[in-house]
Amino acid sequence: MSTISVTNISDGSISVPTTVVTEGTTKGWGAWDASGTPTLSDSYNVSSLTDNATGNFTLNWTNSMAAAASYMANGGAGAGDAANLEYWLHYPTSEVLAASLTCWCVSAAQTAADVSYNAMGATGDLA
Amino acid sequence: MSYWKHKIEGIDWTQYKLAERESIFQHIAKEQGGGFEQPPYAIVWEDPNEPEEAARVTVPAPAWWAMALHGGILPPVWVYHELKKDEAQPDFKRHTRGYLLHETEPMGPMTEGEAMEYLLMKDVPAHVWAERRNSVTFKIVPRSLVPSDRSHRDAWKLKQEAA
Repeated sequence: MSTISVTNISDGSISVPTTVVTEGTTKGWGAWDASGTPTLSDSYNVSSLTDNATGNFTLNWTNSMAAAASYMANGGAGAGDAANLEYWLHYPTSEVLAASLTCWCVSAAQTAADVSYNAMGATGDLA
Repeated sequence: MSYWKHKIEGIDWTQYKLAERESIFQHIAKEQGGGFEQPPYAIVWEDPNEPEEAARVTVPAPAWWAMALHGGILPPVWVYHELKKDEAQPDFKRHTRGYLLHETEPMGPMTEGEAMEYLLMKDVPAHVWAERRNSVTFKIVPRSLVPSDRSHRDAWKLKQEAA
């Protein structure tokens, strides 16, 4: 394999620094089914999923983030599929570490729930 | 045959940072039409510091499991322990020793048992597995033994067997 080293990327009229691409990409994500035995269906930069309790999960990063405050995550969940994300995945800042992210899956009524489709992705800086 | 029993040849993984290695590994695996199967084991554990809490279940990510068994990609687990020590410091701002993840000689191919022990030491708190206790605090079990009925999820406990 070869490495292309460039400072900027341009389409001929607009030029952006390469860092826009390298720093703007998702640094880790996971999709899991929590309707039965916890199952990670697909992921990137995730070593494991911990099922802590009803609606409470931890994604453990393979390549740690630079710090808890150096990344943010977004996610959604649904009992059907990715097209029907009627649940929220949210995370208290106290449960964010450089090494892992713990999140809650809750319904609109703020009740913790185990559903079949959960997905969470993180952007920011890697260690 | 499980994908991870294949060997990807011709790549010097040490040229790349850890996250880049996984990106390349997954790309080649998917390009070759290989999927990642569900790892056959899980870690069931309880936190002795939170005895009222339910048992937790840690399952490996299929891609991570494939990399662990492939070898040449993941750093030794002590690297993660060093980073955890850094993060536990009261004046921690951000990692300055991330190079340990990328520049430490990677682990060779692991057996399934070695991979689960590695994961235990990486992703389960050390006070769960490193301290001798009278009660069982963790078990590495076949996935099939983890309940699929979650109606009493918050009451799951590790079975304490007589010695």
